[in-house]
Amino acid sequence: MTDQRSIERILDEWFADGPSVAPDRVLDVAANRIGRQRQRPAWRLLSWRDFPVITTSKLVAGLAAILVIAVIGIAVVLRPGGSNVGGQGPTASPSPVATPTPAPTPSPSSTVLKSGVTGPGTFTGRFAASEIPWTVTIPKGWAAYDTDIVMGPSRPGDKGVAILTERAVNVPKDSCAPDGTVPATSAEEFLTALEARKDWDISNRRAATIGAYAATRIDIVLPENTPTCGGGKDYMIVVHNDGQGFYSQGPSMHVSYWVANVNGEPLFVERFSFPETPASDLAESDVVVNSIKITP
Amino acid sequence: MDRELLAAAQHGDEAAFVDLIRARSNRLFAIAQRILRDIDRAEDALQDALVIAWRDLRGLRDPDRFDAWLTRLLVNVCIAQATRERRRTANLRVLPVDGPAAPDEFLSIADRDLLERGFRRLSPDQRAILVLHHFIGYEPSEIAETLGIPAGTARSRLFHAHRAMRAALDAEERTVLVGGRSA
Repeated sequence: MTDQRSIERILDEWFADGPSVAPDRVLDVAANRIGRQRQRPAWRLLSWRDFPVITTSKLVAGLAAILVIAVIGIAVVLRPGGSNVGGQGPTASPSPVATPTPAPTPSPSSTVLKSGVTGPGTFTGRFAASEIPWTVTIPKGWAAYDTDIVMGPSRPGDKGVAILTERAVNVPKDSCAPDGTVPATSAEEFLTALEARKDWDISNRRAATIGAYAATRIDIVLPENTPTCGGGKDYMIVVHNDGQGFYSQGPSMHVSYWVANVNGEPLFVERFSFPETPASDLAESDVVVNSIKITP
Repeated sequence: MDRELLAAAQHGDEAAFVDLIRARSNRLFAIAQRILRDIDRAEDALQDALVIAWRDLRGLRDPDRFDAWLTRLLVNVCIAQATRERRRTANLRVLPVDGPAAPDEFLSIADRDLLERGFRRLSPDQRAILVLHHFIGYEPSEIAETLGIPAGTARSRLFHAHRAMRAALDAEERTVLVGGRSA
């Protein structure tokens, strides 16, 4: 039965037998589970380099090309018709003065925060993909993902910065076993749960504002060797009541939270970055956070 | 049509996603059952794979890769589940064969039992490779694309899987013979 000649035929025959119709309950159960499962934003499934924003190198190359063209153009325009040697040349007629191209103003459709829009500009999205509007101003090089996330310039490796909005989340007691975590009902409840995580490096609370609301800012640094949970499970930072949420994006990730009670509900602005994120990106992100307006 | 459903599903349309997978569920279930050799576990694996597919669907950038992507997800779930099961039951006797096993002229019931035992001796990776090749009919290049491995590696793994299956069957035959003599 096991000689080389027959093994392939045996397996063909054997696999051909057996059930070939999925029981209806499989789809029913899957559909039910899907109804309780949020889709991950695509950017969380991409590496930074895949994110479709203009890279710094491309920007520099583009600006350099524009500069070269401008210099050549000015030289051509200002070049006299002939030699000036031996006397005054013809009276120079006023040369065209280069006027700066006005910065593009966002068209009405581009003011909507959605995947693909890029800064500079002020955009209105939906806070944490909810019905709550929020407005954010992002500089050149930044881009939006979905209606609730903005990301800084693309950087190779773990060097980026992004700002997310969250709602109905809390900090799990165990990042590898987040099931059972109940969303915080107040900023204080969230902050208390966060400060209970003794395995994280957590700053003191600081008074801040977010979207014109009084807020508390708190910063955390995840361990250098963020534990992997095994079995393909993510190391969760904050989760919704279904155990899904925001998870570690890389070692020593820095996360800052601005937490505000808005109409009796805690809302969260979340910024994450890495030790190698350029200071200039972080400075821009501070400005971006300060620009946020929440208008429930 | 599938592209429209896929686009809708990627924008959060659950009904579109269910329609999309309904047409594929039989094939996927059959793959899972053949890798795991257990109907209940195949159901669990398929459900898990479909939930993961829904969760990560927005990360799929090439619609033409949907079937390969979904198959890969399922195979990975099956391998993970079989690995866990293998650890748990390493010292236990294998379970009886699941599912209909209509006798035919080529394979006797005894042969099927032997195959079942031999197959369970294989690593989960080897089981998956054999199912993709002999059940789905994938060539090594297609196996490579599905599993995200180089074609040469797929060919090599298929060769070793066949060899491991032969060795497993030989070992099972010896076990049966020894068992028969000592009974």
